Amino acid sequence: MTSQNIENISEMGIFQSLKEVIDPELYVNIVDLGLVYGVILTKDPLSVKIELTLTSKGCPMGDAIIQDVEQTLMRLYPGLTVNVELVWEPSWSMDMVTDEGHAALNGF
Amino acid sequence: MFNQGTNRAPSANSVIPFFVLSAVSWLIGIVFISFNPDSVLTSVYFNEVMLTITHILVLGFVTSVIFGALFQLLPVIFLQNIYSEKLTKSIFYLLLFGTIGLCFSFYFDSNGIGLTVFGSLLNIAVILFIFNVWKTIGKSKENKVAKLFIKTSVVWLALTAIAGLLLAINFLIPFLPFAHLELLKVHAHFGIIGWFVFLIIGVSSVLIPMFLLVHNLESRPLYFAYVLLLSSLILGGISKVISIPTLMYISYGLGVLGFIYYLNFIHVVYKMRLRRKLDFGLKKTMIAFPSLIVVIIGSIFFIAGFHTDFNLSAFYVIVLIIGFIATLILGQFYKTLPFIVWLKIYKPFVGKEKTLLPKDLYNYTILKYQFYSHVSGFILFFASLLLNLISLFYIGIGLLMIGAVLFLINVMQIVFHQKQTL
Repeated sequence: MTSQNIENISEMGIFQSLKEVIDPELYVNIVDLGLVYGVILTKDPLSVKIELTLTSKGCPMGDAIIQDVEQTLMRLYPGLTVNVELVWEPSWSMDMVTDEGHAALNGF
Repeated sequence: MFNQGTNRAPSANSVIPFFVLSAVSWLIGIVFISFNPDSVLTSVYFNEVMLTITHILVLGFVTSVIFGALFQLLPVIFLQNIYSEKLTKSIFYLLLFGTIGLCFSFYFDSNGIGLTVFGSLLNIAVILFIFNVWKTIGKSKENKVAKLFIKTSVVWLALTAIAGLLLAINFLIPFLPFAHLELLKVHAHFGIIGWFVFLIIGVSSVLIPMFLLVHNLESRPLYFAYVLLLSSLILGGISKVISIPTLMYISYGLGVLGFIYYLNFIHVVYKMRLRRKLDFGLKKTMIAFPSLIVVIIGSIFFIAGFHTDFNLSAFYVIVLIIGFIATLILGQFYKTLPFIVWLKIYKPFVGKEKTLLPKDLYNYTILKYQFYSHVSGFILFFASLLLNLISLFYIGIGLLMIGAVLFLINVMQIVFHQKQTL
């Protein structure tokens, strides 16, 4: 599976993989929360830059979320170099949350 | 800005003891109240038992958790590292032995030597705490309103501790040129409003919007609350020392307005919240705020000269401590302690394997029943004070005790959690 992951690697695939990363306070994955602003894949050398925000500056779980992103992608795509860039512009808002994220936050 | 670190908090082991001391003290305080209904229901508040209960609650329960939580939260609020982790450990031991010694000294006939010795230990703890907080906040440009409230609160903490020590020394060698009871009132007033309320407003002004996902808030109501509450506190202190009743009424009036501005801020946050579904930890936090309305009504009745079976100014203090402060703390425990322990145990495995979440570290059903028994308990307890009904008192305090036991069970489950593999 892992070699297949690397062969078929794509920005969309990586974006979908990030659904495995759950915000430990909100219990919703970071994709549905709209925290992933960008996935930029470079094939030679194989690396990915994840542009990530947090729901608030200084979020106490921020470090754990960043680590989760790095480790999850390295586990799913062995050999991939992962760089997480924390960005604050544009600032996160509820407009960035997907329908699934809204449903989870509202308890439906 | 690659991997901007957000992990500035001190190690879990240096803050967890503060939380444990707090949870144990809450239960001990409630047990003491239940065994001493006469001391609580009487209008004479400055008896040994009440002083013991009060200090178990304000030092062991409230101050301990505030110290621990602040060491954890200051890095979050101000994006700064804790100045000294070693100091946090020294502060804990000084607070622990100071509180135990002081409470024993009160209980056994307000022993003057004990009060002075252990009061001095507590004063050293306070000095070290203030130094650590001040150096940590430093020149941070983040959250200016919170900074103002927190820095002011620690100044009041220092004044509270100094007033307490002067009272202790006065027990040993009477030297005060005025009745010590007046200084005792000032000591209580500074501690409850100046230290607890200012600190809670400062911290909650950042944390409640953060948990409820609210951004871009107007900070002016908080500045108004700051000026009003500070004026109230200063005038209240002066009125006690020089006995001018009019000043005291103005002080209560300003205090009421300050609370209204703060409550309005919280109301706006609650209405604007993007997180509609609240867990029981947050529900418990939010249920604390309506009790401030009871405080406001009690104060208005007091200003208007209403007479009840129960001393209204004492009722206002009890509602503030058990209704507002305790309920808020018991709710916020679940928003801090499980995360501290989770980070300690699971952070090395995050992303590498499936891990539990912080909410999995405690029993949610226990939390739910704790919530119901605490809320119903404090409502009945307050009613028993106003109506002077001993049967209601026992039902209310019994429910509070059940809540405190359930709370302690959950706290211990969190603290002694061992890594589990999914």
